[in-house]
Order: sequence, then C-alpha cells, then structure tokens
Amino acid sequence: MKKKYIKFLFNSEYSYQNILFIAFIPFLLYGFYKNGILPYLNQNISILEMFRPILFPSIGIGIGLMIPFFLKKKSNKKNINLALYGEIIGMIIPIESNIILTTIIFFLFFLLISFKNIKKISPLLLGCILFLIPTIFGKISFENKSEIAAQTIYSVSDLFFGRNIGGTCNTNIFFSLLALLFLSMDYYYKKEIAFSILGSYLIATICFEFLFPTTDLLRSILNSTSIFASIFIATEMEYTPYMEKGKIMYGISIGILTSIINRVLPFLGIYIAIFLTSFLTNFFDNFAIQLEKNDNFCRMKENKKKN
Amino acid sequence: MKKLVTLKKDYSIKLNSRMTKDQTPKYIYLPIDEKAKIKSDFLIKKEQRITKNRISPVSGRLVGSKFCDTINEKAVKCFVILNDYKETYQKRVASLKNITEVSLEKIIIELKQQNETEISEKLKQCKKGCTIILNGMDDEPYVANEIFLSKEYSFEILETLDALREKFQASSTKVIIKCNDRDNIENFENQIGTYTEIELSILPDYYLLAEETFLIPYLNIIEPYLILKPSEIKTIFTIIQKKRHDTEVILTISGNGIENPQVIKSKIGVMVSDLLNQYIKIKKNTEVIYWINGLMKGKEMDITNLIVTKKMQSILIMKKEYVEELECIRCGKCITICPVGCNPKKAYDTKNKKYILNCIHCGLCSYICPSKKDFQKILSGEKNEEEVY
Repeated sequence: MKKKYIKFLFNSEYSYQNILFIAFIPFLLYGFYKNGILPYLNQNISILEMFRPILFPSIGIGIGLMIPFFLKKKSNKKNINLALYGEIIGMIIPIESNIILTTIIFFLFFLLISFKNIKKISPLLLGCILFLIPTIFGKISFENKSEIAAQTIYSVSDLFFGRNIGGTCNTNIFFSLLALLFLSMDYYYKKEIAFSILGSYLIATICFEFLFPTTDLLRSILNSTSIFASIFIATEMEYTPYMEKGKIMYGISIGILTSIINRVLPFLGIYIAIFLTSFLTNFFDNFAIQLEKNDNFCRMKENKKKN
Repeated sequence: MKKLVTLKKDYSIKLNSRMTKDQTPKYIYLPIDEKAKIKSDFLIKKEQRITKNRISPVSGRLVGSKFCDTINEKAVKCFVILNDYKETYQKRVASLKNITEVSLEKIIIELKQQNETEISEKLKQCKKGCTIILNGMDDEPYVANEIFLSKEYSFEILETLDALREKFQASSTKVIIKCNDRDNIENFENQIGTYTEIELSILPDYYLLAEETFLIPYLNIIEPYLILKPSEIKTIFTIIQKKRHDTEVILTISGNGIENPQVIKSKIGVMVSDLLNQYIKIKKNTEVIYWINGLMKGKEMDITNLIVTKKMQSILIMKKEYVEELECIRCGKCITICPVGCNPKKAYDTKNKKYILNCIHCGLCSYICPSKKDFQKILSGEKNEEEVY
C-alpha cells in the first residue's frame, strides 16, 4: 500500500486497542487473587503455581509480540492485535491448562493467522474455540485446585463479584459491566452489540427457564464467560456489522442463540453463537441498509404530502 | 436533522487580529475569452469594465496575456495589467447618504447589472414579512472570512441590514454569530442597541451550522426567510450606497505550515504566489501543501499559476504528514457521522453512487475515518481506486 499524506490536522485515531489493554488490568489482578493468592493461602498450590493466572495472558502477549518481530513484519495495528488476542485467550482458558502445550498452541496458532488472512471469522474467536475444545470432552476443568478440594457452592453475590467458575481471569461480572461502561465512552466501541446481546440473553434465558425449568435461573443468567465474551469478543470491530440496526440484530441473535446453547455447553455457548452469527454479518448489514432506504423513502413521501 | 459535530482543531494556529490590506499589487490577471483581442499598452482605469464580467480593480497598462489557473478551470487565458499605482477612476459617482433612499426593486436591478445575480435572486425571491438572518459564521476550520468582515464593517453591515428589514417589513431580524467569536459578540453587543429591531443570537461551534439546510431547522424558522452573509451585505452596501464595484475579496491564509496566519483583503486577479511571497512566511524546512477553500470542502491545488477570483475564500497551507492508508475496519463511523444519511462505506465498496445521492461533500466521512480513507476524493470521481492504493 502506498503512503499518502494526510490533510486533516486532527484526523481521528483508532485507539480502541490501547483502551482494551487498560480495561483488562482489573481482570488480571482479580484473576491473580482468585486463582493464585486464594488457593495458595488455602495451601492448595505452591508459591510458583500462584503466578499461573498471570502467566497465561503473559505468554499470549509475549508470543503475539514475538511472531511479527521474528517474521520481520512492520509494526502496525494488526501486529498489536496478535498481542491483544494473546491476552484475551490467556484470560479465558481454564487455570489448569498445560503451560507447555498452551505455549505451543499459541505459537502455532499465531503463526497460522499471521500467514493466512482470515476474512469472514475473527481469528480471536477461532482461537477461543480452539483453546476451549478440550473442556467439551471433560479433559480440563474450569475449577481451580481450591474449588476442586473444597467443593464450594457460591452465593449469587459471590457469582457477581467474581467468585465464580470460569476462565483464568474472566470471572468477575462486576468488572465486566464496569468495563462495558468504560468502553461505551470510546467512540469506536460497538456498544450496541454488547448491550443487545446482554439484553436479549437476559430475556431469552428467563423465557427458556419458564418454558423448560431447570435448576437455578440466577445462576444461568450470571454466566461470567458469556458476559465477558459479549463485551470483549463479540464486539470485535472488523468482523461485526457496521450499520446501527445491523449491530442490534446481530447482538439479539447472538443473545438468543447463547441462551439456547448455554443449556448444553455453559462455558462455550457464547463462542459457538458468535461463530454461527459471524456468517450472517453481511446479511445483517444489507438488511439494515434496505430498512434505512425504506425509511428514507417513507420520509420523502411524507415531505411531499406536507408540501 | 442529525446531530451536528464539533471539529477538533489545532488551537496553536492563531490568526493575526488585524486584517492585512493588499492594495498595491504589481500585476493583475483577469480571465477573458479565448477570442478576445488584446491591444498592447492599452490604458485601463480603475473599475473600468474590460469584458462583460470583468472589471479592473486597478488602473494601469495592459501588457499582454498569460494562461493562468482558477479554482474551477485550468489554463485560462488572462489579461495582464501592470499597475501604475495612480488609482485613476473611469468615473466617480457620489455615494448615497443612506441606502434607505433606494427602493428594493432598484437594488435588485442594480445588483443584477453588476453581475451579482446570486444576491439579486435571493432578494427577488424573498417575500415581505420574512425573517432576515445575517449569518456571520464560518464553517471551515481555520477560516475566518465572515468573522473578520463582520468585525471590520459591523457598522455598514448593521445599517444595510436595518434598511433591508424596513424594505421587507421583516417579522424578525437576527444576527447570528458562533459562541467562540468573542470579538464580534462584543462588537455587535455594543452597536446593536441603536437598531432595536435586530436581535443577536449566539450559536454553538458546530460544523455545517452555517449552511442554510442545517441552520433553519436548528433555529426553528418558518418560511419565508432571507439568509445573507456579511460578505453579501457588504457587496450590497458597496454597490448601492457607495456606488462602487466590488473588486476585492477577503482571503484567509492560514495553516500549520506558515508562521503568520492572517486574513488578507486582496484585489481580484492577483497571482496567489505573489500574494504569498509578499505576506506569508512558510516555516523553515517544512514541506507544505495548499488547500483552496478549506480542508473539509475544498481541494488541494498547485498554486504556481493560480489567481485570486471572487469564489476564492481561503488558502490553507498545511504541513505534509505521511500516513498509511489502512484497510477498512468496519467501524461504520462514516455512516454515523454523515449529516444527510449517506452510506459512504457501501458506495466505496460497490462503486455505486446510489448510496450517496444526497451527498453535500461536507468531508466529514474522510475526517472521521480511522483508516484514513479519502472518501471525498474517490466518491467525487476526482481520484481512482488505483491511484489511492
């Protein structure tokens, strides 16, 4: 691509990635406390194992930064994306994942996506699904050693404030909602998607619970994995609709699908829902454009009548 | 109406508070028809009509012809007049005491005779009992033509506005100024007391608010209305009351590539490069580009043979800053920001202009794009996709 000069003195800068790195800091600290310090204090893990929750995101960021450097690619936003992908994947994987295996998969996965340009589906989403597949077959548990040992049952407030079963650093719903508010202030964050997923997920879960009652409604709603992914993964800029109505339709369909799939796979439902809906991104955009056209046409008719 | 936005500006670009007057250019270049014959050494007096549309702004000697560029056309044949600095007028008519002495019909005819058809049409179409608005706002960032004109000629502007109010029996008359234009707020607040029927309205600094399509819904004004700019009022004043021809333009020469941004009152037909050489200091070791008529709606031009015409409003001299144009990240901000509901992204992808039929070329889509895509140039057909990449 040729370089061209910029005419605007203050052209808008895309700073969304930097803001995400800031938004993740509280999650990392809480993950370190819940999956590191607490099990250590309960004498379930050694002092070295205490740093496991921070190790996974660090490995992700490190490999994400290292690969473009070794491939001698110019530093641009896409390369920073790899580090961001590494951090997010490192935050959602189970705490008991094998460190060496995770490092190898990270390395191979990033190598693959830096060579192959995936256009339709987000590489981040593919990465999340890839790392979470072992949990479907029950090979890895989402519980940390302390939770396995004590067989704890968490209260609703515990679930809300982070003492919840989930990935390494993504269990705190309170922080997720705070991050949503913080990100909503960013001009480029697609907040419509996050809000419509959360809204439709809430309504759909309540509806399904009434139709097919299971165990606990509040526990199904307070699914930290779904909330975290709807705020950070489903809103990824390049692989989501750009029209306002398209974003809302996209969010609603993810929310409904998640509430259905979560009944079978509670920790993977949202990722599968995003994966399936990703194929309809262009359809939602085109549909929204058509709707807007009809709106404009109606408005023109009204104006003509007035005149 | 969609929500309008405030543009981010570089507040280090500060215009000189006084208007510079360029009254003594050495050469004047006036565009003429290709077939027009030139008699060398022909003496021309000030305000002498050379062709139907061209009036000489200086007195002097016709020394030949040259091909020059204007904003709309390239390589236009021009008369070259060498200024003798004597300012000898062809005929001098005594100015009127007051504009109120002239009837509205006469004003319209007089303006039409002086080729000010746009203003005369505006006055002709306006009905009695209308709302008269003096729009003293500039839309383009770093451009302050109307602001400086209002400041310099506030007395004449208010007098003419009051006369028009009387002639149209206007239901209300408003002077509109942007909230960051402190000088004019103070200036008009001091003078408006004499004209009890004229109101002063201060509006926020939104981009495009100076445009009629956005100003009228914003002010909730019902038809009929008449919107005039200070430059138009000044033209009416010069032609009707002073009985003179309007041969000068106000030009803002600004930008981050120069040391002394300023507003210059220049004669029509002056070579832009001469004007810049005389009054403007370009920053040392700076590669610059020239934007004519603003960063948002204007275009980049080569100024080597460019002459000042009536339609020229500003020359922005900006530092050349290289950036990489990236692939679209589907943020959709170009659609959200568009004030008329166009879809630049879809038009760009499909190369179909049906998605930008209402486009007013405001430049907001290019301004907001984080991937630095120049939608404006591509969609207007000024640049091909191949040229951009």
